[in-house]
Amino acid sequence: MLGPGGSGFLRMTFLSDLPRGRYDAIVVGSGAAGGMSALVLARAGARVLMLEAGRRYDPTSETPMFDLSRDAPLRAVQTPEKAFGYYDATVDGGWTAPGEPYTTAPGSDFRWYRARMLGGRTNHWGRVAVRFGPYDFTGRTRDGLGQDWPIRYEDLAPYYDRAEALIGVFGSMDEVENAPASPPGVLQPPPAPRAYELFVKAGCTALGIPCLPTHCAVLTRPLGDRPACFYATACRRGCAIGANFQSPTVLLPPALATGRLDILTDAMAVEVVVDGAGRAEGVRYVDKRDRREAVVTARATILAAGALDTTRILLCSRNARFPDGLANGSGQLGRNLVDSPSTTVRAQFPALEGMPPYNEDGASLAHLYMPWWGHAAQARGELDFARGYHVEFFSDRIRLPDANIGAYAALAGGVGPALKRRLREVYGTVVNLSARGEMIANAASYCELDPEVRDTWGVPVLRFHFGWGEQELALVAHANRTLRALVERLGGRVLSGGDPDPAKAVSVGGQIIHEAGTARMGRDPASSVVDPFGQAWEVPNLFLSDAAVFASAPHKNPTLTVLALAWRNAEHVAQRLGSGSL
Amino acid sequence: VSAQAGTRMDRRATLRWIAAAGAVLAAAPRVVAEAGVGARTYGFDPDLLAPTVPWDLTLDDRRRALVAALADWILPEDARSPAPSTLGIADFVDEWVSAPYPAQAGDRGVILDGLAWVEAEALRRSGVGFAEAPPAQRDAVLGELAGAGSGAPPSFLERLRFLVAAGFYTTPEGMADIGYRGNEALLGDYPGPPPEALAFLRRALAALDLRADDLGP
Repeated sequence: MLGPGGSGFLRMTFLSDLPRGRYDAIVVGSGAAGGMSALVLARAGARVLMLEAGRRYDPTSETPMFDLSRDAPLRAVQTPEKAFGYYDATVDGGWTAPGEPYTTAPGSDFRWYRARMLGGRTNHWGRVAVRFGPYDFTGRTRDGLGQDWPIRYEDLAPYYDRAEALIGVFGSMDEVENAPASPPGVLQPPPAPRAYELFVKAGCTALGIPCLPTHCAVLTRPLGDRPACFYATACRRGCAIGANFQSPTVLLPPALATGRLDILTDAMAVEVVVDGAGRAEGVRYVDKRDRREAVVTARATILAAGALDTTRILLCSRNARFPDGLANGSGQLGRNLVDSPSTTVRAQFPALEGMPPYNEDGASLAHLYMPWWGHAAQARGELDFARGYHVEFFSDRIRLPDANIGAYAALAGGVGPALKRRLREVYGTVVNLSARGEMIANAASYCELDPEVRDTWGVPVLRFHFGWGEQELALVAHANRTLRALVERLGGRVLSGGDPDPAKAVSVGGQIIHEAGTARMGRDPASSVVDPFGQAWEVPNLFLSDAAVFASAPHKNPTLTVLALAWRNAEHVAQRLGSGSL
Repeated sequence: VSAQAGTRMDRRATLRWIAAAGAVLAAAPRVVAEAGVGARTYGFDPDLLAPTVPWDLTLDDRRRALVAALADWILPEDARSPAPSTLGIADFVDEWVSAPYPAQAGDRGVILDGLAWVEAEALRRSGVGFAEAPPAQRDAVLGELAGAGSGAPPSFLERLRFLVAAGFYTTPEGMADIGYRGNEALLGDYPGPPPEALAFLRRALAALDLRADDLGP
């Protein structure tokens, strides 16, 4: 296995003139789903071609780990071109991507975060790696809403185990209802909580809210050739030492080391090409460097481009046989679009003023979080919403200050020596408490091809329709009440957020970047796009392996489930390739 | 407030300078209206290892000196940290208000209007610009600026304080002052809060009648 020090990249082959017909599988996308699909298939002996729409990207050589905000334009503050700040590991993307617009229908608001780079959004992501629980696969059976998954937690559990062991996840073994523990020996020990986290936890305990170690894809112990975290610099810059999970440092090097993976970057997949018999021949793509189109072929095609890009490619794969998009006989393609409804309360806690300063960087992520605790109250009929939410909370002091630290001046007030003294007192006493909830798919939230707008490559763009339902607003209202009560119990004051009107407090659709559901899996071809292994019902050698296939999306961060599902699906594809049934 | 380096101006020159503020505003950098356009922005894939500021700085020497003087008034030098003017605060504010992004362009008008107000107020009180005014008159101008119901443009002081704090507390000196202690690679496990922080926390929780069970013995 190649180490994270860059050797894998030095040996990476980028082919511009590919031999035709020598691939067993094409994988579109190089992020969590694509990287895992390619790794599992290549290790199983399949010859794999990966298409990535973005450029080649190497975290080991491109990540300015310790560089100060002062060294970056505008002290590294967020801009329309770097939506999470100058040093964030998002290339050619953000809420807008150059040359690739999307549109929203009148009355709808939706944002779509993209990254056009090797590894996609795994370079930037929040690294929260939690399992879905047993209830999350059987929502409709439990409360009559939405759709059950065609698989159960037990089907995915072995792949969660393997994914956690492969990428490295820290967390605790606490037993929480519907938040399953991992088998012994799988998780790495969590880092010590920071003082403000222990402070908030004490408030949680008083209110009966659990507050436990987060599960995050960061190494606290060496794993293979990857060293443990050294507890400095933000994960979202990317990790040059490979101590967190990013596809380009964790999945792609071992996949390339098999010698059976080729990667084409700057290759924007446009459509799945289908033969006369209705089988996928391969993928037509645009080489973004010279704008030329080409077709690559393989025995099986796996779309793992991210839920919405995967959906877009299928919608664009229209022909006489599939006039409404490929594999869309059910009419469900693009439907059931969900994201996590969220509300954030920013609060200041006088009780923390005067705390002796110390290094709070830690893993740059929340070490503690609040898993959903309301199952019993729901069972008693005490809540006016189904499903649940969890709370992530963090201080501004866990990361190197950027220009946003200027906001503390207004908080402190005044000018001169008094302002300077007051700033020292309040810095580190502000905590952002962010609730992330589950959305039930609704008929008004979906995406389709815009009838007029095309991107710079001439490809129709997505148009979004989106609206939160009563369920989500009731959930957000509950979260606001909870967070305000917690702030009050801790003697704090709310600085912003938590508007009592949930319609004003709730995040914009897509803003949490947990979009899912637009090509859902099921047992019935009449109501789903793919089968329980991601195989398109109507195209036997076409598979989907990202969050598009989620039959529902709980409040839990989706990436670990994307990895586990991709592993399970790719294993299935590899078996089918091996048995000659594809 | 210390007098800052800058071009000395007489009354007529100061009046011309104030009048020019409007013209400068009209010449504000083009704002990015749509992703992917705007040649003077740093783009969607800037070199993170060798950052550059691709847009031109636009403040003249006199405005930069005024920014520096106001910054030193907002966050004055003390035993823990130096004056912002010694840490390049004028460069940062100039870079910010000259930047071709919507948020920064929004600050540009506020800051330029406010700087012009300071000059005009100094002129009204002392017959010369802020830099040339006697210390007592400068203090009077600043007192007016800081006071409630001042005639200064709305949000000028708030935005300037934001920028001065942003520029100052992102320097090593400023980070040390405010108590940011990270960005250092650690060997071994993350240690968590030191004993003195835990002792402080224990007292804080007791004052709130909260249990400190998770803090250890």
